[in-house]
Amino acid sequence: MKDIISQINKIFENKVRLGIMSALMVNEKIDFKELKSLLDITDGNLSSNASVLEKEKYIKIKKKFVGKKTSTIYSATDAGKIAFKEHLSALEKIIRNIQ
Amino acid sequence: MNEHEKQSIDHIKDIMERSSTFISLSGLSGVVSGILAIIGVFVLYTTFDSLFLTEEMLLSLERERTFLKNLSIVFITIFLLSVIFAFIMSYVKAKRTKDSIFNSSSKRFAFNLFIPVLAAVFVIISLIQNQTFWLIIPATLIFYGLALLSAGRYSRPEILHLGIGCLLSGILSMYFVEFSFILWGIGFGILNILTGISMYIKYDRKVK
Repeated sequence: MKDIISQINKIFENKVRLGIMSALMVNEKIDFKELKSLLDITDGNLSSNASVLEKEKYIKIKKKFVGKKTSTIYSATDAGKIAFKEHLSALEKIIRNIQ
Repeated sequence: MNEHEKQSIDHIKDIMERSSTFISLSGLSGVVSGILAIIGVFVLYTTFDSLFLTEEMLLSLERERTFLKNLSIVFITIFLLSVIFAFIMSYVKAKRTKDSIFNSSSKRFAFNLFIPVLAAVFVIISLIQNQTFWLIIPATLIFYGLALLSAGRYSRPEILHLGIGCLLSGILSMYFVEFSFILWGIGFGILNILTGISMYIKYDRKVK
């Protein structure tokens, strides 16, 4: 049991970061606006949590110019996808063990 | 402890579903287009005074241009009304759930639906020009079925089932031409209504 708990990824313990990763697992890329409305959070909350994931190299953040406005595009890295899958299977193991 | 993990898993599932599926597609709009299609079959019935398509009826389409023109107008109107209703009702549903109707999954859904429908328009125009009227009903059913199969991946699984149903009705109507009107009514009418109702019960009712 202790072993499984150590597989829980602390980075994904946060609900917003978990949400960002979940969305990026099933979408190749998502822009800032859509991700924000999907998770129903503020600009600052999204940016700060996204940069935590970027520091871990779990996601890539690209800024593009669309006319005069910038558009931020998020995508998951391979490392991020692997880390997320491990986290997910750890969660499942914990649930199964207790039941 | 266990609760916390369960909540996480539920959150992951919810986000994955909402970000990859066009969930705002209104079930009731399917019922509306189904009813419109049945009205269409009724128009065919009153025009020809028969529910069974015969050789003679096809010949009368060649002779009388006004017949053809009126029927085209009726069915183009039905098609446009269905699209407009689907859009408005999905828009209202998205508003209520605070989702956007213009997200990447709805765009993917619309794109994958639009391409086969556009191809169908050209095929139908060509069939009319070549007076191959008997193939119009199978063509509309088959293209609608294929369009739903291609777009359904970005929405609920019910859409895929509806697609298969319409495709089968279309194929059957090529081999049993005399039953074309009835098969058209089953595909566009009854199957649409049943799919719409089941989607409404399964997904939409909870929203309220």
